[in-house]
Amino acid sequence: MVNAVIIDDETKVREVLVLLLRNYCPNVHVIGQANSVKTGYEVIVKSNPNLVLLDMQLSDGNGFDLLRKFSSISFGLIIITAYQEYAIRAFKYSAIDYLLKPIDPIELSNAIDRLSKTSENNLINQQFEALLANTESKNPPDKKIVLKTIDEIHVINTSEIIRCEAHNNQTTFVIQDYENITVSKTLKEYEDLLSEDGFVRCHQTHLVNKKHVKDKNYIPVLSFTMSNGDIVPISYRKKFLLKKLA
Amino acid sequence: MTEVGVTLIVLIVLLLVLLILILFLFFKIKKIQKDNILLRQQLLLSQLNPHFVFNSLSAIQSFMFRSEAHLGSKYLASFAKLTRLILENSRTQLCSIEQEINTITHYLELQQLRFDNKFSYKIVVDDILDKSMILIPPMLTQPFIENSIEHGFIHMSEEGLLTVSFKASGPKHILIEIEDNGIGIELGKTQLMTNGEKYKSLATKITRERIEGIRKSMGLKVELNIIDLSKENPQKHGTLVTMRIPINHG
Repeated sequence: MVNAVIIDDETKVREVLVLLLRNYCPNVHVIGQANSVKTGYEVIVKSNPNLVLLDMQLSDGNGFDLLRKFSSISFGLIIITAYQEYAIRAFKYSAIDYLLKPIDPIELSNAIDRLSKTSENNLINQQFEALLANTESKNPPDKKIVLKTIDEIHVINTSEIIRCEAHNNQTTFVIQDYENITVSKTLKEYEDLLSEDGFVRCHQTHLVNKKHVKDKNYIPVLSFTMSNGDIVPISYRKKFLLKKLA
Repeated sequence: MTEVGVTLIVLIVLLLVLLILILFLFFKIKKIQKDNILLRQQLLLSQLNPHFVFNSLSAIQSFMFRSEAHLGSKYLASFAKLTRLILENSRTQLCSIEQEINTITHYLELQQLRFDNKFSYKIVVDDILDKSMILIPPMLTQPFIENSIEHGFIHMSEEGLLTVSFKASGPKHILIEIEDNGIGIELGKTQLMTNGEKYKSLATKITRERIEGIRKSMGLKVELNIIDLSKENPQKHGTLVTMRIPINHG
């Protein structure tokens, strides 16, 4: 049984969430509701839920304002939002699920299924810490990204990622002084996310961290030599990168 | 220098001046056109505010799960009609009072649904106004109606009342008034400030820019006034927005 709290400033949205959960996630039991940062904090502290469904826009602030009141959390978190505002990026970095309104019932039950698999509190807290670290200042010196595999969570500094490589719909991260990590998300998703951290797509299956490009080669094919010695091909369309990097 | 030479030089100078003038006007017109497009996009965006759009759709979704198909369909149709009117308005510079009232009504119905009937509304039109013939710039009122609902009423315990009235003001002008009994614009501003955000009224900014655009492109001078009712009478609370617009006749 999952005990859930719903925090959203719109009555009708809370109503629909209750109904969606009843219909699609019968193991979830709604034990409390709130509409603001203040009442949301109170209801979480009082009822100690396993799951919080949190809207980003609340009547007296936003979802971050509420989350910052906690130093660690003992509940799974799913973010609900009306549109993909900039704040959503922070949740992508932390691999915290978010749902767009109106809510797709299938996406809701998938998100809850995924959460029940990572229900161990210390794993959830690693994600939460990364979220808080990334949002403490506008431009944190070392941004963290959470990589979730089937049974593990890795919190990695983006500056330590050397390169990413696509295999079908999976992405493998090659990281400085760390094991390789394979995540079941597409390279495109990480390209969108990491482009503002100095990552460049140089090939259909490769994304490189500019900081880790050490040299360039023309023979036998256009390629970069990375800081760990890996050779990464550059597609002909992206050959302008040879001049810009390395 | 011969007389022909002097005439030639004068002619060349004149031509150059003319050319510069033409170029200047050309770029000025281009700029006005560009400003107009930007203004229209802004207007469209402010009316199709994502929080309004997606929260309204969520509210409609709630009827489906309660098997209230009739109500769900009603609001869905309202949503469709509003979207259609807003798209129509984005293509024209003027619409009739009738169409304006239609748009506002659909908008208010959906907002009532979102905010669980936390407020009621009245739309009042002077009998002497010909609703189908008098033309006004569409949805100038919308940003202020949104403010009344989302900031004026939200922290109130009693029910809010919003009145939108269209009145004649002399022989050549129409006066639109948006009055609410909410917390008032002054208190509303300070409340938003204490929440940590620096308050800037988007509604006022968007409307002022739009009024300026309307003046430039159509030569229509709209006078905007915003009054906190508690300043006139400490017993009262709420905000009154008035707009005086020269009448265009279709």
